[in-house]
Parts: sequence; structure tokens; C-alpha cells
Amino acid sequence: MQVSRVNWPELGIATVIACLGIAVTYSGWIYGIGTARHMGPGFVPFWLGLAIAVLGIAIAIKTIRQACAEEPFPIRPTIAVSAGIVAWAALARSLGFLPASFVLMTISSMAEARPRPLEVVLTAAILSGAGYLLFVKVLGINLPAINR
Amino acid sequence: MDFLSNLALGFSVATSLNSLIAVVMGVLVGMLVGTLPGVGALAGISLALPITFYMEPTTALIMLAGIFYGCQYGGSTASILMNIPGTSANAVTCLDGHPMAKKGKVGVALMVSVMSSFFGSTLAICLIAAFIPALASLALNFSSAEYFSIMLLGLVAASTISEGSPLKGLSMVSIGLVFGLVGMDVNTGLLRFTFGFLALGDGLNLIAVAMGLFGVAEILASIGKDHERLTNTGPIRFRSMVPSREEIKAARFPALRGTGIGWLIGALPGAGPTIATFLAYAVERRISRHPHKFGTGIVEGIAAPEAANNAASQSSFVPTLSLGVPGDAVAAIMMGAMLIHGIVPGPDFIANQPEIFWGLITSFWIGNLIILFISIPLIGVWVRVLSIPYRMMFPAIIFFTCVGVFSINNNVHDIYLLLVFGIIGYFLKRHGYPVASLLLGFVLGPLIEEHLRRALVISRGDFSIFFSRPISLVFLIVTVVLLMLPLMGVIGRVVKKNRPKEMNGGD
Repeated sequence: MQVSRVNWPELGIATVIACLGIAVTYSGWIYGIGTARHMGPGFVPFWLGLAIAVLGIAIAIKTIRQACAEEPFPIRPTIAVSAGIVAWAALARSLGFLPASFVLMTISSMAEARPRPLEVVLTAAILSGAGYLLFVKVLGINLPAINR
Repeated sequence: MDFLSNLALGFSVATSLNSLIAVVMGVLVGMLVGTLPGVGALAGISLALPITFYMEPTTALIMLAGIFYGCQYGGSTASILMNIPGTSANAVTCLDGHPMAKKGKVGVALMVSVMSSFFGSTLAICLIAAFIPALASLALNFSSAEYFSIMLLGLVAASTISEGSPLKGLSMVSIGLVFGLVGMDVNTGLLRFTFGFLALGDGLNLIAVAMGLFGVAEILASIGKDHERLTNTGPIRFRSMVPSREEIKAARFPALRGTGIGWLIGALPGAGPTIATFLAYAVERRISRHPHKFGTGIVEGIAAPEAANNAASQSSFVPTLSLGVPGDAVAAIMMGAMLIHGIVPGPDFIANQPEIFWGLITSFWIGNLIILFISIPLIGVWVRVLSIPYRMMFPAIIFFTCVGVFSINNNVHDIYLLLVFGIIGYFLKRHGYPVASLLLGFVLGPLIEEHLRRALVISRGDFSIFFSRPISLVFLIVTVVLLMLPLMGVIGRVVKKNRPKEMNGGD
């Protein structure tokens, strides 16, 4: 019978939410709750955290027996897109706008199961150039084209 | 000033060259991002926001608003041609729009959609022009107690009325509120939830959060999925677009009712265009004399939701502009954009800056008029855009997102934030958590805390201030009712489950 299966992903998220709530409540306690008349910086976090914790537990109870989402986790897209974004953030200042943008688009194109190299490189090159004209030349974003 | 001179003032602002350029650019960008599946008004406005930093505030707002309502038009194109809603507010349009396209009446479907959209918007704009100033003058008497209660109402409404589990909605709103509190506490200067990162002192960047939740998360979910092929429409000629007299007659009242429903739902705090379309479609099917025909491609099924979503997107400006309390996530982004441009929406805004307010309202109508005329000739362009494969599109979207987020503060921390929220957003969406509620909570977090604090200072810590003021009491009663409704639903379901056991055995 399927009924006895625990929906681990749902339970995991609900648990994270409940723990987040507890952590927020604890922070509120540390920040100082104060009184209703003179609310401390921890007043709202304290009560909000409690609410989140209760909601997290309620969601866990409600979803624990629900059917799992069949969709597999998109590991490849997540890695490729993350790597691309991190690369842009890391390279934009040091290498310059053009190389960083080119790297961003080529890396994130790897998210597709079968990337087409020529198409990827051409798109990335053209868009980097167009982006440079738009953002740096027209809109004046303070980044060098290529850092030597 | 009376209504006519206000309108004249508005027209003089909205017909200046800058405003006209802004409105055309806005609706074009809006229709483009609306047409592209997976990129909605939220992402469009967030992406364009950095570009508007170099404009006058009025021009900037006119353009951003143009993106918002342009999106609602554009979204129906993808719904009709590909059976993929361009934005979630156009999902219902697929039900009858796509079958109609398959029947070879693509032109009529698009035309009916455009006409009802224009009809809905125009009527809604007239209503908001009359309604917002009245509401704003009423709101001048609001104290912090009322503001707190209406924000609470908006947050609860956003999480319980939206699709999906109300529990998940409420958890998203609450977590959003906490995210909103990140940074320096305005009263004590204490740094909250910054974990020692100095960059978080000013709080989380709204655009990075929004683009993460709605841009990056959406891309992660869409990569590698084969999108449905474009329906082969053949050349679309103007002759084939003109609806017959019967079709116009059939669409007339659904469009009118859709406008009414859309306007009301949009003006409520917490409910946006998407819900309005579902409701409008359901109502039409309920009152129709031939409900079985819905879903087979009839004009009623296009006219009602399209009128509703455009009316709703206009009227969602009501709570934002009159109270300074955004009703849904897109309005929250619009309000964030206004604040960045140094405009604080609210009752004082209309009195103090009538030229911006009336200019904006008039530009809505001019924008819709422009859309009416350009949308039909541009359909060929959108069809071509839709035929660009997604594998070429998504790296470009990520690129523009990164540069856009970077350009707001010239700072790379925001890009890491974008990525973190993108991954969080993907997980939440995958499991049916409404991230739009999170964003609304995020924007309202600091506001609601401040009004709670002020109200309690005035009442010397007495919570009865929220119940003793009549308007505030009404808001709170509605809030409680909204909270009870899903609870009753749960009870009802439990009762049902326990009673006829043999009927549930089959699944």
C-alpha cells in the first residue's frame, strides 16, 4: 500500500521551516522582546518565529502522507546555472564585463543535456557584445570591458 | 481641483514626448516578456528597473506600469498559439483560446482577446480614476492601527485565497516578513539576521530576491523541458481576424462581467489578476446556457478571463496608490520601484504630487490604446519570438538578470543573493509553496512592524486599539474569516473522509 510511505521531500522542507521558525524566535529572544508598549527589536521576530514553527509542524503533519512529486531534481541545470552566475560575480570586476558575460553564458548553456558548441559560443559572443553596448555604454554601469 | 482639470493635468503629463516614449517602450517590453513563457510581469519590471534609474520618476513609473499591463496582453498570445500561458494570469485563456486556434480561428481568438482586454482595462481605469482619490481621502484619517490591520488582511488574503495550500501560503508570508526584517532595526540600530555580513545591513535587496524567486527559479524549472510546438497558424490576415457579429454579441456580456469581477478582485489586497481570471471563467460557465461548450473554443471563454486580468492589473494599483499597501507581489515590486525613485505612495502622494498620479493614470489609458493598435500588427513578431528555442533564450535571461541585479547597487553580493533565492525559490515552487506570498511579506515586513510599534506606543501597549477603531475592526474581522475558511474546509474534508469509507477505497 502506498499510504504508509513517508513523503521525505515535503517532510524535509516542513522541518526546515519549523527549525527556521525556532531559530527566528530564539534570535528575537536574544535581540530583546521588550514590552508591547516599548517593543524591542526582537518583539516581531519572536512572535513571527513562533508562528513559522507552528506552521512548519502543521505542514509536516498535513503533507507527510501525500504522494511524492515524481519530477527528478534538475541537478545538471542547477549546477550549470549556479556556476555561471558565480563565475560572472567573481569575474566581472577582475577580468571585465565581456569575458565574464561570455563565461556566464557558455557555462550556463551546459544546463542543456546536449549543448551545441558553435551555437552556444556564437550566442554568448553576440549577446556579450550587445549587453556591453546597452549596459556599459548606454546605461553607464561601472565595469571595464576587458581588464588587462 | 475638480476631476476634469485633474484629467487635463494628467493628459498634459502623459502626452509629453518623454512619457510617450516611455509608455511605448514599456508596453513593448511588457508584451515581449508576457509572450515569453516563464518570464512574467514581475521579472520584466525587475529587469527594467535598473534602466529606469536614469529617467525622471514619472517617466520611469509610466514605463514600469506599461510593462505590467503590457504583460497581460502579451501573455494571451502564447496561451492561444501554444497552449502555454505566457504569465499565470493567462492560464485560463488557454482553455478556450487554444482549441479555437486549433479550429483555425487563431485570428478571431487573438482579436477577441485584444478587444476584451482593451475593454476591461479602459473601464477599470475610469473606475480607479474615480475611486483612488476617494479612498485616499478616506485613508488620510487612517492611523497606524488601521494600516496594521489592512496589511495583516492583505497578507492573510494573499496566502489563503491563492492557489494551493493555505498553510503553505501562510508560512511563506511569515517567512517573507522575517526576510523583510533583515538589516538594521530603524528604532535601535541593532543589526538583525545579518550573521556578521556587513552587506546585509541595509536589508536584502528587493530586486535580487524577486529575480531569484521568479527569474532564476523559473529557469531552473524550465530547462530541458520540451515546450509544445507552435500551432501552425499559416499567415494571419486581417480579414480572418474580424469576429462575426454573433461572436461579438456572445463576447459582449462576458467581457463586461469579467471586467467587474477582475476590477473587484484586483482592488482587494492580496488577490491579483490570476485569481480574477479563474473566477471570471467559472462564473461564465456557471451562468452560461451552454456550459458544456466551454473548453471547446468559444469566444466567451476568452473574453471573460482576458477582460478580468486586464481590469485586475489596473485595479491592483488601487491599494498601492491610495494606501501605500501593495495588494500582490507585482504591486509590491511596483511600490519598491516607486520608493527607489523617491516616491512614497499613499494618501499624501495624490495630494502632494498630483501631476505624477494623474500622469500615471492617464498614461495607463494611452498605453492600452497603443497596445490596441500595435498588438495585431505585432503578432507576427511574437510568433517569431516564440519560435526561438529555449536553449538559446535562457542563458540570455540569466545574463540580463545578473547584470540588472548588479547594476542596482554596483555590488556583487546581490548576485550571490540572487542565486541563493533562485535555488530556494525553485525548491519552494516545486513543492507548491507560493513564492509570490513570500515576496509580498518581504515588502510589507518593515512597514507592518513599524505600524504595529506606532499603534502600540499610542495605545500604551494596549492591544484593544486594533479592535476599538471601527475600520480596523472590520479589517480584522475579514482577516479572521479568511483564516477560518480553509480551516472549515479541512474540517469538512476530514468529516467526508471518515464517513463514506467504501467510496474512498478505490484510489
